[in-house]
Amino acid sequence: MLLEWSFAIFSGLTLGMAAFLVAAGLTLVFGILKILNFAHGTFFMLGAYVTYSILGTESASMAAFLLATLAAGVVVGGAGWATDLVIFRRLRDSDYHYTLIATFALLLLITGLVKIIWGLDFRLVRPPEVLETTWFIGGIFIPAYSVFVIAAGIVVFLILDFGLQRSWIGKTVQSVARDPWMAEVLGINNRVVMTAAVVVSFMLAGIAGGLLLPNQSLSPALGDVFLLLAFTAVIIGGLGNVRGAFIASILLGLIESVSTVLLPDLPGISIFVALIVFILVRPQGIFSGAQ
Amino acid sequence: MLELSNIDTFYGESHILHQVSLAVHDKQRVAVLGRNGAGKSTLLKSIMNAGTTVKGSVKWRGRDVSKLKAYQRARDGIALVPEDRRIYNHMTVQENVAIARQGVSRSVAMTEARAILGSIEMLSTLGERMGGALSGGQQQMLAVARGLAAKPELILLDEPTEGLAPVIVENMAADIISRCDANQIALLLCEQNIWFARKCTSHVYVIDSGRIVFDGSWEQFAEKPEIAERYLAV
Ligand SMILES: Nc1ncnc2c1ncn2[C@@H]1O[C@H](COP(=O)(O)OP(=O)(O)OP(=O)(O)O)[C@@H](O)[C@H]1O
Ligand SMILES: [Mg+2]
Repeated sequence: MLLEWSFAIFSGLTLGMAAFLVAAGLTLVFGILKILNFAHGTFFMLGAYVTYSILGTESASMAAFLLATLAAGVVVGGAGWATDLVIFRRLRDSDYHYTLIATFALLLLITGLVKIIWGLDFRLVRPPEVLETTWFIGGIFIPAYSVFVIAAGIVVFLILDFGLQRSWIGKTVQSVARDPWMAEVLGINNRVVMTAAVVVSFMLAGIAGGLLLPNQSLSPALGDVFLLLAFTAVIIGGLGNVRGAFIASILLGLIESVSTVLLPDLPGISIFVALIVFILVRPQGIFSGAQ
Repeated sequence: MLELSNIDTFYGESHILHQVSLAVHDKQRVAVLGRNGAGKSTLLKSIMNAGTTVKGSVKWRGRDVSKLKAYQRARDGIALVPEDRRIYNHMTVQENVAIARQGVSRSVAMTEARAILGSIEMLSTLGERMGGALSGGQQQMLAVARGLAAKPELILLDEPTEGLAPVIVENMAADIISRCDANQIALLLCEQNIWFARKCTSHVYVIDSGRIVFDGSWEQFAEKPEIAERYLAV
């Protein structure tokens, strides 16, 4: 029983961190542009495919894996730049209906492109060699790859949080997010800041795609699992709030995996219940406002 | 140095300013008086190109700047201190001042910000405080300090005396005059406090329903009490 619980907590953490890797870019772009990018998950998938194209399905070295992930980040970041230029920039002052429709169209477009380029086949990509081991600690099996995902989530969170809260660039970005009118009047080029935020957000999606590629069945449906968690985490965490998304991701990961222990017959329902309860009790999120 | 000729300003469909012409010369200090809703803030926003659609010519230092965005005008030497202060809560007082300084390194900006804050009695000990933790009056002072930090050639002040105690308003007038003189800054001041406006400036415009209804020196303004009576009395 205890072992079952420890394992549930561990896999919940892994799931939560994976969700955070997807949620991070989503909440960042919302915080600054107030655009909820429905296509975020497809760019996550694109990152996974790019990484797969570089690595193939066999185990690579850790260095090759990280480099390929980074390359995916750059490619998807570039796609973000193009998306900003063609779509987001035109949506800055529009109603949210338009942004929903536009990003939904983008989702369909990118999914279609991925299907054309890579086809519909499922592929299984193995983790890098060093991460293929499983440790047996305190009675439970701990896959090295899961530890890696947790570590990656924490590292991404710390970099983002430090970048936004402590650095001058981060404070400037927050100024644009909180009061773009004043920022512009103070001589800040909002357009550059916003474009940079979009590029970073997409890079995060691409990197998440690479990092989470191993052990998933890679197909155009990749990411659906994390995407629901990520969107929920972004809402519960307070739209636009990176810290909130981080905490909410962990909570949701834990809720999801603990509920599979408690309610094995009702898979997935706990997340929706959590979302509904949260929206009723605290609609503004754990933290409100961009951070 | 600033010349507006027959500008019309719109917020979306609503037409707010009508054929407004106004000039501020080098180092000159000019006041704009008008009732609530007369269009004072809209005028300043039009000069900055911040949130308004402007038709007509806006010349800055002899150059047509109609195409320049707000941030470019700010970098080009115009600073706007908005009526609603808009201090950033996530930054310290000092950072709030430093962020206005463009074109220098962050450490230089922070040093300059410290110097400016040190010279303002109300704020001199508050540099490390978060922006949101100041009183309304302190925030008002901070907004002015932030405007000065940009090292502008023209500062646009939108009702800076609002919410300040009379004795502070009195000091502020002297302070603004001496700072503008020392740094050769021209001033365009929107006010409802006639005493304060008169103390700070040499030329006055009166605006009503988006139109300029008076343009002259304070002596000429005094000779026409009916202007104040008609457009400024509440
Ligand atoms: N964002 C906006 N959209 C539409 N109309 C606006 C907007 N802001 C102001 N107005 C209108 O423009 C007119 C002028 O407003 P403005 O804020 O310039 O007045 P003001 O002279 O600054 O008044 P106050 O002394 O109260 O600050 C008012 O009728 C106001 O209702
Ligand atoms: Mg006003």
